[in-house]
Amino acid sequence: MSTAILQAAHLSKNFGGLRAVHDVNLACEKGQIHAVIGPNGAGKTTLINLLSGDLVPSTGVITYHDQDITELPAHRVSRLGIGRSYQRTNIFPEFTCWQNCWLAGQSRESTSLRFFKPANAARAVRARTEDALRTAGLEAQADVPANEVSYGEQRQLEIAMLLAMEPEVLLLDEPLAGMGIEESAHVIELISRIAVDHAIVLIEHDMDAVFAVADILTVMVDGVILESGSPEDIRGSARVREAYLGDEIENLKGAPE
Amino acid sequence: MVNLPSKSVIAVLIVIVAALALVPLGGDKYWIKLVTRMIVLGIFAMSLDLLVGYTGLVSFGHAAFFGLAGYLLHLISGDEAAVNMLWALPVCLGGTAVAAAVIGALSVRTKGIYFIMVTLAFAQMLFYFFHDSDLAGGSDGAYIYIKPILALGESVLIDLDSRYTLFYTALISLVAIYMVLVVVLRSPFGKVIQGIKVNEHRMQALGFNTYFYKLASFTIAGTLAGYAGFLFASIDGFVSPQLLGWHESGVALVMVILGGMGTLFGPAIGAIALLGVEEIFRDKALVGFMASHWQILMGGFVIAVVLFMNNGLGGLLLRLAGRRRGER
Repeated sequence: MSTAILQAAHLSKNFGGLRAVHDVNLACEKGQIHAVIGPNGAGKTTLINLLSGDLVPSTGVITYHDQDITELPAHRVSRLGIGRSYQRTNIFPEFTCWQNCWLAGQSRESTSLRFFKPANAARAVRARTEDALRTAGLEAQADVPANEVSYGEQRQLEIAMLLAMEPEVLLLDEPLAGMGIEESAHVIELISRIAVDHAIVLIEHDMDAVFAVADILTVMVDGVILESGSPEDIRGSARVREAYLGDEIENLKGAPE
Repeated sequence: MVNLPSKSVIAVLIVIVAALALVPLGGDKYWIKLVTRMIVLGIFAMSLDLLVGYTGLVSFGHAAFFGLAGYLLHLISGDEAAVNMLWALPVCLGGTAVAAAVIGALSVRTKGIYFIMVTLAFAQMLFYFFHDSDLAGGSDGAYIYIKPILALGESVLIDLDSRYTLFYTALISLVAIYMVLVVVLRSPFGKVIQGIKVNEHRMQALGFNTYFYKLASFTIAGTLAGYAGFLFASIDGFVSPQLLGWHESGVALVMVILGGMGTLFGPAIGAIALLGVEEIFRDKALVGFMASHWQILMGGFVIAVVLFMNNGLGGLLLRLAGRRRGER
């Protein structure tokens, strides 16, 4: 576990009497996709919110490159190199795709307290913006307002914004939610391409996709980790089948690779 | 995101400024004073648009900084010699900036209706401070007997006591501040505050300390309002607590809405329109007996603009000129 970039130890989060997340351990290495699955209400999004700094855990420690980031606010966590996407599309609807990515790229500058120089003159930001749009396959939509592109493209834009932030760790909260088959395949391909030089924590309901790309799978139920291991282990686990996967895993077994 | 206005909009703006510049040539004292007031309130409204239209902060206490700068000018003005703007302006604007930074630090933590209430509360605190203390004439207000000058050594470059000088100083300031704000809005800082207006939470997730940028925007807007207040106090040479009150803050908001939020030049047009229309509605020769009930006509006018013009006069102008798209 010493190679893990992002590590969470004994994380818990209570909302009043509700144990949303309880004693969760999680680690993610570069080049690895760590998928977290589980039924609705299992605490997956809460876990992402804890890792991203949107929520402060009740107990437990989060470390990033051996630095304790447990209590850092979201913007500090983001600047360290941990980017997140959202389950419900969270973009700047009236700005163009280019401007959306531009803001993401600009966030990596040391400061934006520059008042008189035109923003467009920043070469590094331009390069990040262009790269992100190209990688996400959104070049053609660059100058279209984000609220005028298709839903699938908005989800792609969400990922493009993440890329423009040049993070080391990506926290992806259901990137395929609401996507068609073709769009899903496109984004899955994109995620596995990014995974080569990033550490990715992926929350996803699409089991075909999860088993296709994940290196490690963690199954959460009712805020606790039920099982964690390689996709083969999870596929073979009787506990997981019982608690959650049920029929879905049967279909997977028979499905051609 | 802010775009440079299209050529036709710029042409219209130039015509408006040129028309304003001709007013003093008529030599009518009343008109010069009225139009000076329009221009200065235009600067005030434009500074509020930076908050309302570009940062998404609806302040209901913006007059606090407008009035405060006026009071500071009164406090440093002598009875015998004029103050030199070379140091008077930094003192008044510096004092206003500090007040804006302190009030901002406490209020930009809140959002929406709470932000409106907190800014209103701070402005009312300042209002009652000057209203109830003997510091500057209390509720009666106080005079600035000798208006500020700008002097280098022995030579006086600008003397605001001359109504012509004051007029053109205000007009040049309006144009200059507009141009500077356009530059600022296109800068990295400008992009950040516009992002905050649309989706503050996302900006935080991107790594921006939004509190800090909102505070910077609030302080800049407050300081610019202070500059407007400095000029406004020089028009009549008189300050009263009303300058800091909620009514003045409300008028500024009406000017911004009338002129079009987030258009920058719009609120300045809104200020000119509001004062101009008031002048018309108070004229017995034009509206007859309704002149004594001019507020009714004014209410109807504001409602009509808001109902029938999408985003006020500035929005109308932008639509007529055609949208300019594609600027990155």
